[in-house]
Amino acid sequence: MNWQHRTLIIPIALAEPARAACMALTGSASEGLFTTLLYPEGGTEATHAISSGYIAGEFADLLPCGDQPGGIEALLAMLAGVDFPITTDELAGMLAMIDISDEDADTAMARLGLSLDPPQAPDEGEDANS
Amino acid sequence: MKSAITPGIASVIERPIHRGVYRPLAGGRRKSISARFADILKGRTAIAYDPQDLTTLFQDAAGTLPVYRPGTGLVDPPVGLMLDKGQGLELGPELVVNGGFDTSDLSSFIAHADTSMSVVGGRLYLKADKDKKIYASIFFRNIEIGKRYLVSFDYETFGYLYYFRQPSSGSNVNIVIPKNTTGSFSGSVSITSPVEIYFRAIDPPASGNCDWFLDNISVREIKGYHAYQTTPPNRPPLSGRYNLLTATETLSTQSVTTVATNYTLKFEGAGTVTLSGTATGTYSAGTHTITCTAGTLTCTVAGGVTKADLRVKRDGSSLPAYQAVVDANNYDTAGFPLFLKRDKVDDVLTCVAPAITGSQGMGSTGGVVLGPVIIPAGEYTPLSESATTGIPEITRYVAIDGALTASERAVVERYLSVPSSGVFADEPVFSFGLTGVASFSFALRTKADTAPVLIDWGDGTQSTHAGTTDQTASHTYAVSGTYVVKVYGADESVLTKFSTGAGGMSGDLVMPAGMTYFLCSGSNTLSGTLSLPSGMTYFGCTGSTTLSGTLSLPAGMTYFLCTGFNTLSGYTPSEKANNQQRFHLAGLNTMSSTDVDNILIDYAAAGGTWVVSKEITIQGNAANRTSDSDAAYASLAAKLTTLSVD
Repeated sequence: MNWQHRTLIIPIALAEPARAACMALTGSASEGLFTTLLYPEGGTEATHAISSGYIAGEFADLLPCGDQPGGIEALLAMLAGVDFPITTDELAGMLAMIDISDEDADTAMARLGLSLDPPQAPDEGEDANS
Repeated sequence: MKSAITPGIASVIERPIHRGVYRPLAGGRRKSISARFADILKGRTAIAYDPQDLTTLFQDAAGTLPVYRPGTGLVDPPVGLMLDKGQGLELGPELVVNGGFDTSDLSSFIAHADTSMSVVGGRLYLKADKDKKIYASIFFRNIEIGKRYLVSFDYETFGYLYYFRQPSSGSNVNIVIPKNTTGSFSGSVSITSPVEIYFRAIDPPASGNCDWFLDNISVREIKGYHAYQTTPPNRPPLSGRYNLLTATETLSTQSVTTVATNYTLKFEGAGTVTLSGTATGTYSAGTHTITCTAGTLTCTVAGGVTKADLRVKRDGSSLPAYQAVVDANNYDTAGFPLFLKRDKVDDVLTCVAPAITGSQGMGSTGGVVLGPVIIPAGEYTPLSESATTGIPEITRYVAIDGALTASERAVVERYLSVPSSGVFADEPVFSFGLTGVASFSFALRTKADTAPVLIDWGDGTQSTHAGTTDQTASHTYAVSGTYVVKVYGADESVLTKFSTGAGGMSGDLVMPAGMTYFLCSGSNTLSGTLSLPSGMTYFGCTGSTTLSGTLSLPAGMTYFLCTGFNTLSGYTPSEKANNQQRFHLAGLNTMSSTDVDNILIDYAAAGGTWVVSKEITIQGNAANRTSDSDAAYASLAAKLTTLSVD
């Protein structure tokens, strides 16, 4: 198996449709994609979701990453093959919104100013005693 | 990727390896810690995952793609399935009723609407209505999610045969058997979603029927609560990498990612390393403790810096002080315990667990944690509460139902702390002395890539090796002197090859039962009674050796070289292999004329083709042959390049 490391960070609104597209291609193997939420600095609402780890090279090659342009036509053909309704523009728009890199997760999150944990809310007990 | 060590974990893992593993029993016998751990599990509900045991790890959730050893040229393999050894991977009862088709009972199977099945001649006969379908299908559904099954059957196909089927596209586990073949199949599959084991015959001959026969169908559970991950990016890789640096033999300037903790920087050479970023300072050769913050650490090299190692500081660690790293995919793992490297972003494994109220423990690269746990029956993530929490680098995991006594708890802690792969018996499988040496190296092989040996070099350091191809075991002593080297394995079958051209070996030569290849061609002073294991094919021993005993050659031996001051006193006639290379015997041996005759007669009788050396030499103090071996001698003379027998 040709494994390639990818970190994908996606706006939270796109997490569900992106997961649905992946599940159309790979079935239940994609159920766990984009299930970890990311928070911006100073924000308490998650704005992004992340998946990071090894993916099969046949799929990694189709995703744009650094200098690699990806293969949107091939992806589109694969999705059409499984009757997943998406246009070229929609797919291109979705890919453009996803930050895809071969960086480790921490590096990619730091670059985008995102973190796994929301800022800590003030401790109510401490407030009461202050 | 985060690699922080969970604070507060004791450094139990860092004790010397087998000193910490074995403890004498009352009768003087010793039992390995793994055996004692297995005793604790008997009769209990338990889960035990062992990332050191590569035979229990697979890259995919269905368990069809085994992992490979990290550091050997490919990316660290993701782990999609980790088998539970808590029940010894025993097979459960047969799940197929009448799998031998001795009766007409077909209740275990459901046929597709257009497939007919019947028992014909003691076999299951399936036939499709080929006007409606071009395939015949039956299903076996007595299986459960989270379990692993060993499936086997005999077949006679007239079309391609069968796969295990998952319900949605992209998740099928296809195992295709060629059409028009007869044979047997045995394989394992793990069930990770609603599924049926599905036998299908497709692509029948154009003019033929879509029919086939099956017999002796068996489906048995491989017991255990196996952990899996169906989503590839969420699989933790298996790693053995401790040294953060790359190109470590001769270091060049590079940057690495650090977390906020102490690191050990060690290197040799006349140059310096200047740190910037998460730590600062300029260092010369030696061992230094570096306090880093989280972020990027740049190591700027000036001059020659060799054998450089930068790793998380672990006080009292027994790991080798230097890990050679070429790049992220090529590094030395000998002596370094493997671990699941969770990224703490989305890596998580799930099992369908039993209810456990007792203890849960983990070994990690930072130590051992063992504490109380209540696991409800059902889906459970054993390695961490969630994907983003818990210990990042896990070397072993156990969960045991019921209370542990203090002594049992100690055994479990020690099992979790064993930083080496597999089980090592209490006594070495092979040992030898070294006299007046500053360094020593040899090539070895073990019987399987997952069967390790541990070498105790006699100066407090150890290394582990495993592989069915040549593995180099090499050690340089801080002080030149006399040492006893001991090789430990699960049993005497593990070490299959030992080969060295180095000198200085001493002591009694006692070879383990599994040794098939032995060569020591340096200036050695080995002694003792020569006894060659039954499977040995290659034996060479030179130097000032003083071996004694009666020469008895195993049936498969093709190469025998023994010189020195040996005093072998006889020869036991035996059949020889027919692909001989060499028989060379010299020294103070007291072979009689009869012995020499018998040697020649045995080799001539073997016939076959001689290769490579094509030599028989019997010299030294051996007596001359007699006319009894004339015919054998003449026969051999026609085949050999060297026939030196008086």
